[in-house]
Amino acid sequence: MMILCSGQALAKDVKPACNLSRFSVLPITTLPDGRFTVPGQARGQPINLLVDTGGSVMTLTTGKLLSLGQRMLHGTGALRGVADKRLIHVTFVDLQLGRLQGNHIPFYVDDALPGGADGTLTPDVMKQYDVDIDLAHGAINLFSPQHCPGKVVYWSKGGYIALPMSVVSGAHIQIPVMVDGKRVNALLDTGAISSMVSMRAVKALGISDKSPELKVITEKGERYPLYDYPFKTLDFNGITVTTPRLQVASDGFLPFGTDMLIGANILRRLHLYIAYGEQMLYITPASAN
Amino acid sequence: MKKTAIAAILLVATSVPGLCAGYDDLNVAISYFHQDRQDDAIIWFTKAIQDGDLIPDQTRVAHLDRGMAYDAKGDAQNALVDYTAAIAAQPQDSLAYLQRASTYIALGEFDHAYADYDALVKLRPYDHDIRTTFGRMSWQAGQFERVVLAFQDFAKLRTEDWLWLQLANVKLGKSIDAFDPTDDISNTDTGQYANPSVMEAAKRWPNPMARFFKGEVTEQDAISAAPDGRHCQAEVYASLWHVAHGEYRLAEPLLISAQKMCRKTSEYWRIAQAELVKARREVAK
Repeated sequence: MMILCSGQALAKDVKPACNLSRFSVLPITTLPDGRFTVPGQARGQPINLLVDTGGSVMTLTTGKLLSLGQRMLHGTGALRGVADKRLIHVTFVDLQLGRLQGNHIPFYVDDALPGGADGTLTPDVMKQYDVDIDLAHGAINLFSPQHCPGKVVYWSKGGYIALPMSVVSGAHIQIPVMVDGKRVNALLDTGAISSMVSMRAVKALGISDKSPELKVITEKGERYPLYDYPFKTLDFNGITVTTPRLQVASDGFLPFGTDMLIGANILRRLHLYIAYGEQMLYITPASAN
Repeated sequence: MKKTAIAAILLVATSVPGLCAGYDDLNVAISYFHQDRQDDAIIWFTKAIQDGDLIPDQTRVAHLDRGMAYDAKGDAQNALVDYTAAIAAQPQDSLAYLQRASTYIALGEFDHAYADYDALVKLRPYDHDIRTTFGRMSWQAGQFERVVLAFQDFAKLRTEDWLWLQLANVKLGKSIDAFDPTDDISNTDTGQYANPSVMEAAKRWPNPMARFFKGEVTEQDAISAAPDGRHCQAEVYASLWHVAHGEYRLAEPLLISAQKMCRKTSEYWRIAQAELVKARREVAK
């Protein structure tokens, strides 16, 4: 297990104060497709890490690995992801992230990353903190998870939504949402450009691959076709996105057991505070101030 | 579920006036940009910039994306203006430099392109991606010795880099280097997690393209071996192989097909577009 040490010792068995304790502020760089990276350092070189709440373990591109002069090893098991992609090579890196430092952190090697991203920052590291994603103001704040429950919405005096979240398979965040009035369990995936829902899940809405409003958007012959569909609402129990752009994924595209991913195209409209310790997700519109 | 007693908050998909009007407009623009709807994207990026309340990173990406949208429409001059504005908003951003340099190369302004390369190398001195991106740009500039310099350190470790090195070798009249598919340390889409046999490694993308370069498989077999999402890349490499051998009539149909298949904001689309212009000129001679 890796721990990023902030240099601040947290005393055990001490009742937490209700004020939030911020460990680090990470400035965001927005990628052309709307996803975003945060800056790290390894071996004195900058590393731009795509913030990927849908990932499992940290990754690094071959190019960055070569730039760092790192060695690559065969992993003891393959990491399996969307569209049955597998990652097999690993390396170990000493990483600095803002004021935080971690040694010998395992990274899988993955070249399927957008230009501008050297690797990914994933929940295996993030889950040790509360993660405050404030895209409108260009920052990710890492807070101590030790605080009074529910006392985290520091940025807005207005309303907010508090959703209980499940942490599933490798620290993925799953929340219940309503798509056109039907409940679907969705994973928060900042590493996905688009949001998508499985064909299996939309059957409850009467949608099938024969529905006339379903428009294929992938090339002919693709193993896992994707479709556009004119959904009307996506509701986070009080925050509603109207005419959300949700792609419908043919069965098999999303990892086993996943019905829906909420990607950057929708998450950019929200300010999210992921309280891993409390297992609660706090949401306001991105511009709430 | 806990929640405060508030009315439902509606977030409409299109922009509404608000405290962060520019940010909302930027998100609409990015959505259009990702759908390759360049005209709509340009309109909304312009609105976002004119709203006047974007933070520097958002100003940067608005100009960067609008520049890429202009490039996709063939408007290089407006693209350059936007890339320059993106660099001004955040001088540490390597993406904007890369895009600007690529546009300079397409315009034949090689001095400006290499000036951007020098700036990039100062920002990220050991960066494989920067060096190899400039290697590909040097190919477009016809500077094949520079292509060799860009790729030779990495060609033994990464098949894509090996492919580019061989293209340059052919242009320089040199022989093709040896190729061992098990040397490739890059991730592929269909890997096995045990140590691969040579046969298994040879099937992994883009190794089939290397085997085509070596004459071990046909062009059709190599292109067919490309996984989903890589057919554009496959056709570009196959066409470049023909270009390297001066076989422009064979390259042309592949380049036309690649142009239709590749995303207009991708580097492969730009390569296909530039090579098609050259190929048509040669064929017309």
